[in-house]
Amino acid sequence: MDAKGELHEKVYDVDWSDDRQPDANGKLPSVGSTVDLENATWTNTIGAGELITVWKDPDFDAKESAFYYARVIEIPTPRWTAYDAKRFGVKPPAGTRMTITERAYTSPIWYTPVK
Amino acid sequence: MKIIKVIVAVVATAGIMLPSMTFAGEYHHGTEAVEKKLSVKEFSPYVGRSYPTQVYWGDQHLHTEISVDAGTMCRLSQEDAYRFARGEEVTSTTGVNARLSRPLDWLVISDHAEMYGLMPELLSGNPDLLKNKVAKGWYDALKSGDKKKQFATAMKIVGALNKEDPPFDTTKVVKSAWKKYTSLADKYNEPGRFSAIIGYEYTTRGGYNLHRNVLFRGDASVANQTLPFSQFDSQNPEELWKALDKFEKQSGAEVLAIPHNGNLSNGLMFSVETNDGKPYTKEIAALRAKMEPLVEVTQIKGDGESHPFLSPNDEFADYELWDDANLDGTEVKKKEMLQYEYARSALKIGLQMEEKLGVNPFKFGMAAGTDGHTALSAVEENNFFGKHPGVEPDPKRWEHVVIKSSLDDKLTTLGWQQAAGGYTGVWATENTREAIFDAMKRKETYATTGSRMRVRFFGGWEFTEQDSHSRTVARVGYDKGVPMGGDLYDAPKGKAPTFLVASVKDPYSGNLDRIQIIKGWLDAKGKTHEKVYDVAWSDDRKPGKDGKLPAVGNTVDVKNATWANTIGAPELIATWEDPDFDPKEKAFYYVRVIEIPTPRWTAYEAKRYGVEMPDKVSMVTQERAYSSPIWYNPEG
Repeated sequence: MDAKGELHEKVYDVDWSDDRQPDANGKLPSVGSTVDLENATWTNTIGAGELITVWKDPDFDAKESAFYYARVIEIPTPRWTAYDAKRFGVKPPAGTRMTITERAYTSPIWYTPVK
Repeated sequence: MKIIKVIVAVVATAGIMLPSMTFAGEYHHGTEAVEKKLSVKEFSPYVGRSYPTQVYWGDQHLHTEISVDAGTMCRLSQEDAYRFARGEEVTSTTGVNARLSRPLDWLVISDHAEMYGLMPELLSGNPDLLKNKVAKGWYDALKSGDKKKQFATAMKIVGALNKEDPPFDTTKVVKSAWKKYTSLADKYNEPGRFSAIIGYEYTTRGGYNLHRNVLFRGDASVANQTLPFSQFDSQNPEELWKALDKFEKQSGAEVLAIPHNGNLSNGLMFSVETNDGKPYTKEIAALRAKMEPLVEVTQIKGDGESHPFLSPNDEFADYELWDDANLDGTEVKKKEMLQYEYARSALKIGLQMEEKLGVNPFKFGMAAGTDGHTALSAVEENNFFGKHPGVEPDPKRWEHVVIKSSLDDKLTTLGWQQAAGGYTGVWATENTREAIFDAMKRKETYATTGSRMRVRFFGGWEFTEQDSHSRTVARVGYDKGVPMGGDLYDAPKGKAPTFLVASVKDPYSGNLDRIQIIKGWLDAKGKTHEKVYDVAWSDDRKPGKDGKLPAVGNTVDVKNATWANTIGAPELIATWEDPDFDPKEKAFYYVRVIEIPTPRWTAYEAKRYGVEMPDKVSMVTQERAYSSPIWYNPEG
């Protein structure tokens, strides 16, 4: 929350797999997909087994209240609809999402300026 | 309440994500097909799963003050050992606080059978014991406060372990200490969380390390029906097997024995002769195979999988070698002894023996242990508490004596030579004494040098490339084959054995360099052979012209005792078919998983204490796992 009471948000990529470089807009290219829909399977030939980093807020203002939480995103894997389609031998209607990127959301850590 | 909340949440999520989709609507057209599928197949891939899904980590070889040698120095009790293994913090004999990174799932406190429990009794001044002159002499010396005298006496006491007869009658002490131990084990045994498997060490022929750990499947009521079989009963291991066999038959109980690291036996551990120097008989071979399903292939006193002299083409066959002499350094080792010491060679000799006798006495799986005499099963490189209290963490321990040779100072082993290892992984259906014991009997185990990587290994005739894309490796593995420790028989016409192998790194340790399958076989002329195959590896490396995979590289920063997982793979999985198969030849196959280089315990120590060690002290290690073999048995 800034001094005027306005709220802001920003997503930072802090660690990623496969030696990707952020583009001109600072966005990391997507990791790709190895999902084989027909067989409802994928390979771990992209992505990383583990990620670890230290990150420092580059836009920090000591007077502004803030919170930070982590979102961890997996590489694409078959969505349950893909498993069902394979197992039951049926074709889901067009538009049904068939892959998913599983994720985790941590509880936030809050920064509270001393009044 | 909680359950209701969860269900609501799931429904809500599905509603949000797929507003247009209902099972009754969109999937309606497929009802017939759906019903047909459902009628023949369960939906959940985990329904009816009866195979082991967890690997349980433990140490089958640990000593406390109850062991007569450890008891001269170690002040930690069996209770301390259990508490530590279960993840609690304890203080070592030398006053260092100790805790494991992760608890162990099971533990065998394997104190020496000989004079079991003597030292705490003697040191407390048990008046019954002090009536004996020898005991009184030991007591006075140990209590004298004279360090030289204390050390000399401690060595004398350790030496008494090697004698054919006990220095004095300790039956009363042994009986009472054994009962105390079995009852303590029952107290700490917590099915589902921690298995306190009852056991002891039979310490025959100390200098030649023909020692065995004996494990019980049952509880105190079973173990109390006998006393630890000691070398004072017989120095002949065949007599141990006979006694155990007899005990099983009389009591209906089950026991097994695990021979120790063969590398210090000077050619005796896997000798093709019996204790009396005669050829093995079918009966002795069968008894050994029955009583000894596993072998301790790696521990603090060196690794015993393979040796460069025996496997000159295997660039990984030189891991933590102790190959100068026998255990106490009283006899120099000769090259021709090595073949009867190392596991790979013994597995090969076993095929020859089977050809001759009809029974393979060396049909064993892989186990590991620490053999710590500190009551602390702590062998991670950054958390290594050493072989005995004389080599517990200390700035100088790298040059302390581990075992003194009376023959030649060059044969004395020093602190830095200790290997920080190992643990046994057991694929059991649950964490109970019974399930773990049963898994050991069927050899569904693997040994590691202290790291806790997961290793799966299955053999069969029908594994395909597609199977290695499965995320449920075990399901397809058990479905189409046998797990580590199993047997394949009579190859179907035109088929070669196929293997499904997978490993996931220990999150606390290095990435994986490669998975290898090691094959040993016996040809028509009765000659044995071995070959190491790289079957899965990291970093898109290509084998060279000689078929060898290039080394994975090294990210170890010795000065800071750290490394980066920027090389290697977090998991590896592959299907492999033997390209050199002959259906008429007996063979075995086992897996070796190798991690990328990480700091050896000496590097952590050099950094922590700010000490410099000479160049001969290795600072980098590649942790590894050895699976139990799968044997191929031709018809006839």
